[in-house]
Amino acid sequence: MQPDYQKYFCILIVALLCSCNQPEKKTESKNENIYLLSLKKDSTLKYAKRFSISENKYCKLIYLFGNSNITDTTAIYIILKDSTLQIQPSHKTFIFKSGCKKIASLSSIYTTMLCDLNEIEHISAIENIDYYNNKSVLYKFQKGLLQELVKSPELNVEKTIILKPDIIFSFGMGNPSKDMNEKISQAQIPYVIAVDHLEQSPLARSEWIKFFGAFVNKSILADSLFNEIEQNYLELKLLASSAKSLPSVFSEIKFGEIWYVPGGKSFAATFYNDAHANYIWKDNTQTGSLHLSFEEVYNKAKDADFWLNMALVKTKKELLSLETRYSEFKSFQTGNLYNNIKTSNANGYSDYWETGILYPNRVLRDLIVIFHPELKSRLSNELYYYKKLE
Amino acid sequence: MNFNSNIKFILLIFLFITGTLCSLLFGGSELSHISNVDSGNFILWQIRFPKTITAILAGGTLSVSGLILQVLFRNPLAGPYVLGISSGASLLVAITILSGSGIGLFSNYILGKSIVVFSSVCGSFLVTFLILYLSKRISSNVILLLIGLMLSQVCGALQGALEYFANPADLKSFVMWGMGSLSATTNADLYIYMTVSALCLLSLIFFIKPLNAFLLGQNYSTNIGINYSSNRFYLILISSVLTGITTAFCGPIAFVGIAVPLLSRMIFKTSRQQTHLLSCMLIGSIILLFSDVLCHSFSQSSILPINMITTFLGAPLVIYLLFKNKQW
Amino acid sequence: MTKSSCIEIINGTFGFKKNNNQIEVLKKIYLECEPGDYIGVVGVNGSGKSTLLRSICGLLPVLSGTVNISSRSLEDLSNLELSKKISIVLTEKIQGFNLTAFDAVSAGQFPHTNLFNKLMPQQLKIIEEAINACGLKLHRHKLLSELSDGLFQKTMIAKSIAQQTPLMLLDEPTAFLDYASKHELFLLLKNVCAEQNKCVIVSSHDLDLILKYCNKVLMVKDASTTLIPSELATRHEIFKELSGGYL
Repeated sequence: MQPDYQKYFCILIVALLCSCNQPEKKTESKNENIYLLSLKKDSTLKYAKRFSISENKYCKLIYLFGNSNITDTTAIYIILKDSTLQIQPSHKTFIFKSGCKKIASLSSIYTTMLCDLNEIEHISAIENIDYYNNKSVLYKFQKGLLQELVKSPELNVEKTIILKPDIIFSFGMGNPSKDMNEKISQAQIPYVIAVDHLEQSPLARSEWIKFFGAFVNKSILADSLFNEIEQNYLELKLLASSAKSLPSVFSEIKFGEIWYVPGGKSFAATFYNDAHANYIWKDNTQTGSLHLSFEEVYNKAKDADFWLNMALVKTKKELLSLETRYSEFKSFQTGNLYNNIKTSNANGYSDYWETGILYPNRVLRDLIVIFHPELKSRLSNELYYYKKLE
Repeated sequence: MNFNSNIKFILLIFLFITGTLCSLLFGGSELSHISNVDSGNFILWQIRFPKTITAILAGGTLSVSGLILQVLFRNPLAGPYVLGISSGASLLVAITILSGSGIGLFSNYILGKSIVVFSSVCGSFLVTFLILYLSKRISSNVILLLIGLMLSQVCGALQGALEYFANPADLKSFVMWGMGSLSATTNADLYIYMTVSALCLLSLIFFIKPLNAFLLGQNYSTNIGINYSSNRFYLILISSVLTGITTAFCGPIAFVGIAVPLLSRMIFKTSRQQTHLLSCMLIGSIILLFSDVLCHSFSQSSILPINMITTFLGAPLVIYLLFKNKQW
Repeated sequence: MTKSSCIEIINGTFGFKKNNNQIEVLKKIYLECEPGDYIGVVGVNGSGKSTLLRSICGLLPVLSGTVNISSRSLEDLSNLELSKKISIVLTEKIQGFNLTAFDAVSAGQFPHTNLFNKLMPQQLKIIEEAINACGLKLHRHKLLSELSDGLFQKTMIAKSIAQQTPLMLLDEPTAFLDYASKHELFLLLKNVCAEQNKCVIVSSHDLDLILKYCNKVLMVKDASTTLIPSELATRHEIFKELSGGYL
């Protein structure tokens, strides 16, 4: 037994561990700049801040701003108009051929947008059928023409590779090289990371239809669809502002000990504001959600007129069974409880989360009907997403 | 090694080969669906091959690490997971992943990976030493396990606190890692993983004698010519590197480290640790290979987390073995 | 100093180190033992018998003074060298990990085996002899946990014999044994000592056995030691005190 041998071996291992830390050379491609120079025009995005589209005669360029700092470009998607062109991709640039025949859409929001761009026939995979209310998607799935790629928490890489889609649309945190399983990029399957959920206003999120329109070569259709939605939304907003009452509103229920309520500058807060309601936390400046205790919520919201969005709760009784003290809220006593679950599938997933993002006008109309009964005469009575809890 | 144990080894090697083939055959998709040769090749070499090798390496390293710990503590209930060593590794990885991306540590792939590996090894090393220090003050096996449990709870709580303050992008990758997975490694990772584990396992040749001696306790092993404290240091180092590197690549994997050495002693009724070192590598690999097959075979499209299977297999096994053999 | 002395302790201080404090148990110890010496160590509980034995074989530090083992300083000897000069039998119980009596005895040959602990025919023979000498032939394949206290003690003595050291130290090997086994054990050690010309040092509370079998008695009292031939021991003042006047 020579103890020295052991020493050498251990030193060797430590040395090996350290030697792994050798920095790697960075490879940057230069030739992409040729195409970036001769831009024809900037697109006419009105609301969306997380992407921009520009175009020249060779390609469409879509810039993604996925960082907390909104001016940082986290990715450049280059869609080639001429498929004979060759561009070397780098760690930030992703190259796509125009026209996709096999699309994998890994979010029901994107599937909705693609369906309404008449691309349903080209969608060949979705994340999980459990999330869907869309009739044409369900029909196509029953026919066996749609695959599910995200049954477990992670993307099924093998199924994806066998399917070999022309393009994958997925949501992410904004850094495409981190947001997708690295084996997908190794297999050279083109993928697009969208960050629509970082947008703060309903119209901005809806405008992301132009993002998808660019990839499937349906920009004109996307523009006209969005213009329609926008016009309707703005009309409704104008109508709401004419209302005399300004009802107060709060939303969500508590999970465990924490009540996650939308911040004052969040997506939901914008809706309430546009529907001419007084959101309890409207003076807050956060765009994400606030983590509050029951006490804090009770203290501010006990006299609020309306209570919205109680997760999957369907009846007043059910709400009370979660927490008996919910009955202390004024809105509970007056019965002004509305949840966005009117259309939901067997698994409890509401259409609100599927189509409500693309059609904020429908959501706004519902909210106006709820908040301002005096304007009912000028709107149809039927609620689209919302349902009163009985 | 006698005739009887030779047969057992041949059987284990047979199971090992079967497991390897099964693990290559079962994956996230069905073989019959592969129509094109390119994607078939890719799936075999870029997805299943690294997954299978990872299963072999993870099984071997964790089991051997568990064996070393059991001998070091002279406690058949020791193991990297139950003593909180895996949790220690997780905690340090959490700290680096969740704080490191802010200062741009992970812009470089290789650098990022090695930092994760390094912090994971450090984490397991620190916890092993802490446990060892505490174990000198207590004599009971059960209390040692309780302390291990407490340590892993503390690490878990700290990790929870870190996750609470982390930004969502880092958190997602970390949570995925924390669930334990054999399929996260790529062929590029395998170079680091394979070399380090092979070196560690090979270096154990020099520690067969100390391991055998350690069975007799500190005093007797000193008396038969073993330098107790230096050998113990190196063995802890090796065991930490083995646990650390596997935790870095696969996340914390439960119960393999404790159950396999128990099983090995059950199968080979010998006290010779050279036999157990070999059989632990084989049995550990076999168990993870078949766990991986099970992960993929319950449901066609969804993949069960590996930890669920190893816990389901491991925990009852440990309880059974402890009941059956009260005197280890 | 005679060249043949197994142990030579000159002005030795023994004890523990705890958080930079030295706890001195034995002070100013002088001791010299030769091959063929069969020394019984006596002393009341806590007097330092174990401390002395553990210090000689390097399990406890020598706080000051010199300890020479076969004319070489204890500090200069590596673990491996020391293991070929001194073997020890302790009171601690060992079990588990499939350890059998044979495994424990063969550990005695550890210092002489290669990297893989491979036992050569020569070494197997030594182990067999040690097993037979201690009467363990029928129990060799039993697990240590299945052995009675007496058999376990014999196993560890067999290990010590198999270690083939000129010096054997035994710390209260008779503690849990019945009367017959105690006699058997002391006799066994006497034979080993005489036949192989070893120096055997055994600590025990069995004064009568020590007087009967050992040729020297080492008394440990008040942090110091006195070595006297056993035939003189009964007449010794301290010895009377040690035995509480019962002998």
